Parts: sequence; structure tokens; C-alpha cells
Amino acid sequence: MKPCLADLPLGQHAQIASIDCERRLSRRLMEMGLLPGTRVRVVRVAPLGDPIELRVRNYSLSLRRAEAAKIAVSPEDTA
Amino acid sequence: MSGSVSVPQVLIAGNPNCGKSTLFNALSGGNAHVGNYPGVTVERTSARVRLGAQDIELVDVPGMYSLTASSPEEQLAVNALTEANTRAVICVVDATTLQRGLYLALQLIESGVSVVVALNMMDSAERLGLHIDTERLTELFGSPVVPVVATKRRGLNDLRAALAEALEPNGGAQRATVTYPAELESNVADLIPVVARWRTETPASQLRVFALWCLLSLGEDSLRGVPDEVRRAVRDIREAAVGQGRNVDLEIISSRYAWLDDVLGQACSEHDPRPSRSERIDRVLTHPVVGLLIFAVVMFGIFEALFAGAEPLISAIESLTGFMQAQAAAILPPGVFQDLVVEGIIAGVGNVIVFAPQILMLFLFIGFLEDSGYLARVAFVIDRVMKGVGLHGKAFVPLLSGFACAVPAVMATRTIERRRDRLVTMLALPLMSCSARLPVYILVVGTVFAGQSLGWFSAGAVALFSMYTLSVLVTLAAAAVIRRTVLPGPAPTFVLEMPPYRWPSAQILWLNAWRRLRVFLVDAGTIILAMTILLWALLSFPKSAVVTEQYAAERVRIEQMASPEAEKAAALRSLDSREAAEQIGHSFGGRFGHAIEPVLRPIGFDWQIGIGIIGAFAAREVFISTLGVVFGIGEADEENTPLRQALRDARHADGTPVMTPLSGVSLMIFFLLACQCMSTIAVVRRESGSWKWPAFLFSYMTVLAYVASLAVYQGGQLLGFG
Repeated sequence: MKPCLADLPLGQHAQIASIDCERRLSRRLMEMGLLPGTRVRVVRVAPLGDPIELRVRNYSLSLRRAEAAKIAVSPEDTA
Repeated sequence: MSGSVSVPQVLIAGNPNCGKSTLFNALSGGNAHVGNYPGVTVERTSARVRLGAQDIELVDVPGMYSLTASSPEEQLAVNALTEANTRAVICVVDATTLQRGLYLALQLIESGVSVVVALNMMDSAERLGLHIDTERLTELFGSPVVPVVATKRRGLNDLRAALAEALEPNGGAQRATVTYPAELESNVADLIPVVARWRTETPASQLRVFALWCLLSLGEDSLRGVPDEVRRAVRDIREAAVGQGRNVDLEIISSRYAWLDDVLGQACSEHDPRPSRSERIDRVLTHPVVGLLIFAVVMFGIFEALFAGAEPLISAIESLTGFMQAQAAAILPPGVFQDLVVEGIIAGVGNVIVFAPQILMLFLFIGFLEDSGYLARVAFVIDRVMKGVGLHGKAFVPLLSGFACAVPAVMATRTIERRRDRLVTMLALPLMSCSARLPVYILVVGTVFAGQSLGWFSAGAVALFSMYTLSVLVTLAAAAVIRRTVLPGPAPTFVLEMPPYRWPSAQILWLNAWRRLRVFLVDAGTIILAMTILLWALLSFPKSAVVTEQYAAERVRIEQMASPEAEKAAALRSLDSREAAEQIGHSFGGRFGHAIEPVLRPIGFDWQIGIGIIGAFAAREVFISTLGVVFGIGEADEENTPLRQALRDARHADGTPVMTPLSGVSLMIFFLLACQCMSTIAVVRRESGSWKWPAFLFSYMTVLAYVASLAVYQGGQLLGFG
């Protein structure tokens, strides 16, 4: 079982493995550039713990944890 | 529709936050026309622009990430693209988030229309050390890529030149073509003949991209005008693909991004230039403690400005209206026509303009928050709270504004992207206790709770505080209920770009706020004016001829008396007030007030309060002046002692007092919950695009108010209050 984006530690780089959610949302995320193989990083958590902010393809995107939990990632080895 | 006679249309498309509107304003010089797209509640901003020797119609298409659509609102971009007179598209791309912006540009280029890519914010990109070879990009895309800085009006001439060239016949030369997987290409080939039977006007060369669009868009959609044959074909293809372990959406989208990655690898330097300034600002603005504190201060600032800051301007407009009414009354001969002008038309225009200060202020604020990038952070910070009741983080500012006035607040819901989320917010926020309810509370509290206390607190303060708390709770509950019942559907998702912080342009802020105000004045204003005149007529006609004669005789008697002039004038004024009170009782509104007394009695009101409630439909605070007329006091405000006394002295037919603490609370709750505001109705009509939603709003709020007042009044009596 791969870890999901919602569990990724702050600052950790990872690659998206798969997106598994209702079609509208997955299509929207993919069209915004979140595709299998795309590098992402969680850069911030909102003051109240949700949503979280990602850095992907040179821009910042925020997602609720419930949505981020549907995105499986493979963390990159950090040097 | 023949494209050859009409003015060529050029669309400006782009992602949200890419500076599209800034570029539109720079190219159009601010002379925009705001209308509506047919069938949907999306505004269509357009301008006639001179380009070399010809005129073009420049249309600002709402911000989007893709042409893919699942709702009629998203569909309008494709519709605009396929309109016969659409000749070219300017696709605005933020140079600092190139890939995502070019994803849209690529789709536009694929669609076969002439595209000019305006690579905006090149200065920011250069500052970040991002090198973009625009000539190489032009080559690879087969469409001109022009670097611009819309805020500084740099590169506009190059853009105009490129556009003029794109408008020439055969402007588009060698276009970019994405390679899709072979299985997908075969699906597309199967779909093309089906699509061709639907899009008979579409050139054969564009059918391929239309088939791709159908594959990606159809299914679980609410698009209009798609034939069943096409839907079936798409469903069959998608189902077969799933059987083969394929994901059609992924195949289409990732092929495009793969193409982009390849192209950008050839034309750009590669690194992740996170704007360091935005990073530093975000560390403060989204900090768990400091961030929340700043959030609270900013929100309070908006609230204070709407509540208190707009007050002098509102008073000035009211005084001006009063002055105009006095002037008209002096010029015109007394009679029905004078009343119509004074109490119908001038009052109605006043009722419309009085919203201008708050609308302008709120939209200057929202424009500043949105263009600076902070509005996205507001949603980010508060979403956790809003999510609980099924609202989007962006619903916060409109809800908060509801404390000041529902009219600008309803207009502010347009920052919320999805129509369903916007409607839920729009239908719940009129329950927020707006500033027009306050005078009603004050009148009631001053009438029934004067000098009383509850423990350490004054009873009036407790009552006021309870009203505001109750309003917040009821608003959130209503949102949750409406979301689950009337507008069911998936919970709002929160996929929101956090744009880099930028300093907004004052000119654009002003232009947009002014445009919003103009739309309100024209669209909602006409409805408000018409309703004011209607209400005036309801409370003025018919007049009783008997009463008119009696008072005319009495007036003659007073004038012939030998008493001093001042005394006579006072007697005449009092006579006028008493006549007005009697006449309003004879009017349609007055009769209606009498007729509904049996309905009002169980919630503790009598017919006089009933007339007040009818009058209050013009605006809640008008309740007070209407009561002033009903009780024969003349002009009155909420601090008016004679009015409070008259209310205290009012008796039901059985001799019991009308206004008791219990009926007072019932009255306040009624005003809190009922939609006693035609301007809210008018603005919801404007923003929702149909009469259905304001009708629903009015009905549910009235029922809610009645039931709540009934429960309070009857329950209170059972418990021995009142």
C-alpha cells in the first residue's frame, strides 16, 4: 500500500503514483498537471490543520486532506 | 448566423490569476460592455476594439484551466469558440506557471482556431531567472507566442500585430499536433462519424479534436444539446476501455502534458522558481497564530468598513433623497401624481442608489483581496470551518458581508467557482443579521425591555446578542440543509490555486468595482424601483373618500380658528398624521394587514404590525416609518419616544397589550428570519439568473420565520411568559 499525499511529511519530495477518486475531481487534478510521475511536495498546512498546500509544476495548489488522501505517492529518497 | 457580415470576434482566454482581465482592459481601454451568456448566469464582458483597419469584438472568457466541460457554465467556452464569427483566441499564459497555462493554449491550438499566446508576466519570470525562448516556442506550437507585461502595457503592440496576422485568412500555418496512444486514436476514429452527424457545421479538420473533447467531457455531466447518439458512443468507448484496463482521461491528458514537457524542455530553462517573496509573505499570513490574527483583523476591517465606513455615504444619499422629495413636493401640485413622484419614483431611485457605497466598498475590498492573492489564503485559512456545513472556503467573505447587507454579499458570491456552491451560499446568507434589522431590534428592545435587566446584563443587550448569535447558527444550519436537500450533489471540492502575491492595480480595482455597481444599478435597480412603486401603490390606494372629506372639513375648521399660527400649524400636522393613519388602514396594504391578522395573532402581532411588515418589504428599517404612519405619529425613527409609547399602549381587541417582552422577542425573531427585503430578492434574481431561486428564498425564509415566531410565542405563553 503506497503512502498518500495527505501523509507526506512537510517538505518531502514525492512522485504521484496514482489518483483514485471520482472522475470529475481526478480529471480536474490531472488537467492541472497532477499526473502519475509528476513531482510534488507538501509545502504548508493551513492553521487549522486542513487543507494542505502543494508545490507542483512551478505553482502552488491547495487541497483538502480528504482529497489528498486519494492521491497515492512514492516518496523520493532524500539525500 | 453569417460570420462574414458581423464583426470578427476575438476571445481572450486563460487560467484564473493569469492577468487575463488586466490584458483585456489594457487592450480595450476599459470600455467594456457587461452582458450575460445566453442560458447561463455567467457574465460576458466584451469590448469593441480598433485593430489596424478593422474593428473586432474582444470577449473576456471566464478563467479556466481546460476546455473540458461538465456543466453548461464550463461549456460556454467551447460554445464561444465554435461561434461562426470567432476568428481568433488570445490565450493568456502566466510565464511563471508555464506548463499549466500552455496546457490550455495547446487545447485551443488543437481545436483549429487561430491562437496567439500572450506570455504574460514576463518580468516576474525573468526576475525568477526563468529563461523562455519565445521564438522556439512559436516554432514548436505553430502559433505566435508574444511576451507581454499586461500591468505595464509592455508588448501590446507586438500582440496586436500578431493578432492582426492571425486574423488573416490562412493565418495559422503548421500547427502543433499531439501524438496520442494508438488505441485512443482508434477510439477517436470510431467517434468522428458520430460527432460529424451532430456537428454538421464543424469543418472536417476539427472533428478529431471535438471527438477528443467528447471523450473527456461526457459522462456524469449536465451539458446541453449533446445528442444521445454521441453520449451512447462515448459511453461504449469508455466502458470498453475500462475493460481493457485503460483510462481514457489519463491517456488524453498525459499525452498532452508529455508533449508540453518535451517542448518546454527545448525552449525553457528547468527549475522550480518558487517566488521567494510570496514564500516569505505566506510564512506570516498562513502562520498558525499570526496568520489567524491577521485574518481576523482583515475580516474585521472589511466588516467595519461596510458597517460603519459606508454609513456617512448612506446617510448622505438618504438626505439627498429626502431633499429631492421635498423639492418635488414643493414644485408639483399635491395629489396622486406628486405622491407617485415623491414616494414612488424618487424613493425607489433612492432605494437603489443607497446600496452603491457598500457595493463599491465590498468590491474594492474583494478585488484587492483577489488580485493580491490573499483571497485564496482566506479560503485556505477558513476552509476547515466552512467545510463542516458543506460550504466552500470562499463562502466566508460573502457570509461575513451578510452582517452588513445581503445585497453586496449576494453579489460577492461570484468569487465562488461552482454554481451549486454559489447558490447554497446565496440562499443561506440573507439569514445573517444585516444592518437594516438593527433599527427594528432597537425599536422593539426600547419598547419592551426598557430598563429591565437579566442578572448582570441589561435585557436589551442579551436580546440583541442572542439575535446575532442565532443568525449565525441559523445561516450555517440553513446552508447545511439546503446543500443536502434542495441542491444535493457532491460536497464542494477544494482544489484551489494559491497564486503568488502581487500588488493589485488601483485602476483595475476601480474599473471592476464600478462595473459591478453598474450591473447592479441596471439589472437589480429596475426591479427595486418597480417594487417600490408597487408597494407605494399598495399602501396608498384606494383612499376612502369619506375620510378625505372629513379631514378636509376639519382642516378648514382649524384654519378658521383664531388661535396663533404656530398652534394652528401643529394642529394641522397632527391632523395630517391622523389622516395618513386612517387612509393607510383603508389601502390594499392596510386591508391585507387586517385580513392576515388571524394569521399574525398566534405569533403575537396585530394588524398594525402586519401593515408594518408589508411596508418593511421595501427595506426592513421601513417597518419603523410605516408604523409611524399607522399609529398617526408621522415621521419616526427607532429612537422615537412617541412611537415606543404608542406601541406600548397598543391593545388587542380583548384589551391585552400587543407589545409584551414575549411578542417583542417573537417580532425580532420574525425580522431576523423573514426575507423582508425586496432588494435581496432583486439581487438574487440577478445573480441566480431566474425567478425560481428568489421565490424559493422568500418562501423558505417566510415559513421559517413564521414557524420560529409561533414556537417562541406559543411556547413562551405555555411557560407563563408574556
